[in-house]
Amino acid sequence: MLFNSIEFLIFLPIVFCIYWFVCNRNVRLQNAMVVAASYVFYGYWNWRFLALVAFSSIFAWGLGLLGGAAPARPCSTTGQLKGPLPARGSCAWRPKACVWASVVVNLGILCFFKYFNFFQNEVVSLLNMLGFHAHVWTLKILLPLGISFHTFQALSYTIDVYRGDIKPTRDWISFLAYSSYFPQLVAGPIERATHLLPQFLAPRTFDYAQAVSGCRQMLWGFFKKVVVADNCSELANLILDGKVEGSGTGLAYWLGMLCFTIQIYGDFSGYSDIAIGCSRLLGINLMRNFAYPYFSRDIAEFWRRWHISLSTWFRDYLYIPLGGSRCDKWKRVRNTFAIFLVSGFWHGANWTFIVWGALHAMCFLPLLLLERNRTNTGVAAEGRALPSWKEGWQMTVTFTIVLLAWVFFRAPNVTTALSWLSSMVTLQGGLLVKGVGLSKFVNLLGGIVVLFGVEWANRKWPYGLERLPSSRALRYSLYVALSVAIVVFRGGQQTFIYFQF
Amino acid sequence: MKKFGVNFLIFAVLLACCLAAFILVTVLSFKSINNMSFRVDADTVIVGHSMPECAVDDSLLSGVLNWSSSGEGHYISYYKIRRLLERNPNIRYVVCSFSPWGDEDVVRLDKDYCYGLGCILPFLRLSDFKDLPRIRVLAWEKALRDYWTLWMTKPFGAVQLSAWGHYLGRKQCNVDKDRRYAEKVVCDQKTFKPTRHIRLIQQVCAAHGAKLILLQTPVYDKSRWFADVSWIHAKYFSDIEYWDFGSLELPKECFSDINHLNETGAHAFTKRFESKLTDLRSAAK
Repeated sequence: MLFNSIEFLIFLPIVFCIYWFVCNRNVRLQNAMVVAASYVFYGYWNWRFLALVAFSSIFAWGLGLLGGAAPARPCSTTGQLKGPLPARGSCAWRPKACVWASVVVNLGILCFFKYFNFFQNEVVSLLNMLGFHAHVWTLKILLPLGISFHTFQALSYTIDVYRGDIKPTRDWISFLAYSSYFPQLVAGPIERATHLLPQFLAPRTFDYAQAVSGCRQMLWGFFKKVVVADNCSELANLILDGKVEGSGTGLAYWLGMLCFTIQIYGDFSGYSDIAIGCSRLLGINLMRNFAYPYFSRDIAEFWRRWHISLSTWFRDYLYIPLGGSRCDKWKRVRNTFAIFLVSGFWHGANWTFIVWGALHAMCFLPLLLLERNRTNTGVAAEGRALPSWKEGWQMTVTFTIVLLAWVFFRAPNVTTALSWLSSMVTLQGGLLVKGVGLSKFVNLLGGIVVLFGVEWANRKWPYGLERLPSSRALRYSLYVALSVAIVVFRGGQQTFIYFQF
Repeated sequence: MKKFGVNFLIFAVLLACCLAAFILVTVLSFKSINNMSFRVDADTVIVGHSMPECAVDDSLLSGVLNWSSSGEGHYISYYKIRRLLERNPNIRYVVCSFSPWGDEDVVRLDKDYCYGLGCILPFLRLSDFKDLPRIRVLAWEKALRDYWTLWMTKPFGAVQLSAWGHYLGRKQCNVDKDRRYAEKVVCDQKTFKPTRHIRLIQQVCAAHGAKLILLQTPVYDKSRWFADVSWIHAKYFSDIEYWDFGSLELPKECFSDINHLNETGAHAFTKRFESKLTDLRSAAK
């Protein structure tokens, strides 16, 4: 079920009413309702994979109970014992074994569904290159929706239990609600058990301000996705897939990639806003996933603002265990490359994503090694309406670097990406793209101006419509104007890009 | 909770009113701006889907207007023809594309979209709804938006959706890349049901003194693409004149894909079409 569909517009009010009017007396009942709604939501796409979601959830829950936290051990800096003391008669190996089981099974599921054919093709190519005659045995594997998000969330629970950051819960319904929570099940934000699970264990009461803010955030998310991202996507696809006359030139690629850059932001951050807003209607707070990344002044700041849930996940579960920044220079380089390459590979089974990750690593590393990766931690142009010349230049450069890296994200293979880049850098050919109606450009430009204008004005706040005029008439006019724009100016319906991850 | 419900209801009512006002303004404005009257002296009009749209270059002909539109089913053509004949009494010949698709097939092709529905919205009467195939709610919604886009982009008489004229790449020849080239698409004679709208088109033409001609434009490989619709004509519409150019031999360079001509092909075919039309006009005199 897509958020931007009639089915969801019918589904959500029903869930909302049952959640607050029928199930509100009992937390367990509310959580059971969330589980049922989540399974309907996911099953609407393909009911066959419900078993996989259920298995992954119950497996993680079971491992959490079985393993528990790691035995107490001295903290490396203070010497004090960290973690619970082991119960008498408990097996010290069990917690670690359970974590490893979780890692193997969850990553195994992910690798099978997402990477099997890729690895097989690469191995076969290598063997053929070495003179062996190997055959490809490609399985027609359907990628379950949101598998990367779901498995990471399950994995983080078992690791957090092992670390003693959270106690394993016996309440399996609350755990199922946490692990299959429909607003963030298929495209994030990737939640942590320490943040989300306690909210399901505690009673919830309806909060008017939170519900209104949630509706506003959803409205903004729909605008970003349906008006901006979908319109950008139409134009980007026409140009980058060579479907219009005049595509294939340097300037045309710049235009296409500009549209894609805005599309991916509008699409993904729009989805996150809808997910977070929808969740707030149910009294649950999800973590912020985007903090206006295209206003970043350097790549380090970009990665603190883009897909925050994923980058913090990799930081906490990969980067820091590898030593993080508290090690010698070469290990820091290794750790940085590792995290960016894995992050790239997480996005898809293609060399283009790995190259994309490597490019970002190469741009990030100088800042890290020069210890300038935390220079820009505040809001751009704080207290001022416009950025300074220096900030403007920094934002432009960062945006351009990110745009050029997106070429590898969008292109079907590395060769095509390099060919596009070559055309873009040499600016070969002119810019005369025929076959695209003027109204499309006007809609697009209008949507982009509104998007960046509103977000710039509200860059201090969690989402674009957080702060509005106090006049009720003005607020309602804005809501209605955005809603009409969503209905009238929306692009052709596109699925969310990050569903494929 | 009560306050939230009341405020949400206020918002919903305001939104419904705004959307209703928007629809009304759009319908009224289109009716006044585009009433389907010709601005040139033409006695022949071509309607139908992408095949005649790409095949006949009306700028090379006199007295002919090609108002075909990609994806147009016969039921859309019917309402278009009806309106055209009401507004242009000089029309003598209506050339309509002939395809094996029933109306339900056309609607089913893209469940949430009906090609051409937007441009005929202002001309539909209440009594027409019983003849329409089942169209989903989303398709009606998209038709309204198409109609609004039409008004915004071409307010002075165009009936084609703005994007359709170019999607085939007039200068290209992509026959070998056309995935459908590998498929054999046939029409099952046992299950086929002819569209009733061809008869309705015939009736409305007769009522306005115009002659209906069914047209099949050239296809690259008749054995692959179900261009062999002559049996349908013979069985169901033998009383209607049929210009079957499906077997016309044109080189591969004339085709944009297996069933659409490119610019080169259109120029070659237009000459053939003109010759046939001239003969028809002469015979009528």
